Amino acid sequence: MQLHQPQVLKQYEQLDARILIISFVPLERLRSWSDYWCKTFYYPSLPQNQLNEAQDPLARSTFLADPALNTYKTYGLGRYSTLAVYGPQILLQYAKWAVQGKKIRRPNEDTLQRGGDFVVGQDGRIKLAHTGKNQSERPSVESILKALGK
Amino acid sequence: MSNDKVLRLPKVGDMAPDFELAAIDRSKVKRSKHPQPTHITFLRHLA
Repeated sequence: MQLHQPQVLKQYEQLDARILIISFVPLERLRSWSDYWCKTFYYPSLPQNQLNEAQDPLARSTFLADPALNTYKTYGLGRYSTLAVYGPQILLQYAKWAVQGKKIRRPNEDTLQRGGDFVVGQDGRIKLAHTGKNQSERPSVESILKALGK
Repeated sequence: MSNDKVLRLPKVGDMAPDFELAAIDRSKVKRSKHPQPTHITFLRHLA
């Protein structure tokens, strides 16, 4: 997650903003995945940013489970078409990883479920709404920070 | 086939839909209960 770089989280702190991270996997699976993600990717990245676990840069983030997809649907997030997820660009990327010898894990979850990013202001109104044409299209960090500051 | 046509993406300026979901510490989190600016990110499948 690009947003969870410690230097970006510092800007969230300056804006007094919080992050709600919603997944459609069941709660126990989300808990084990977040533990794995923190231990494998996030905590090892902290020393290079002069941070340690005790400073808890993730304090502003909350992982939430929505296995029934009710919140996804309320925010207009349906499913991608198969072509959007497995189009030529994505298949080319997989082919490159295969040539590089990278292990490609078969996902356990619905790969067609659409994700998205929203920013809600202090007035309860939407300041940014984004869902990409495919899985790789994400909003920039700058655009999210700008919306949080509105 | 995508079902995007039957769902409506909230637009900038709309009131954000409220929700209450379970957090991994088993607490319940309601979006509207905290008034500070909030970034909501809906994950795709887990890597």
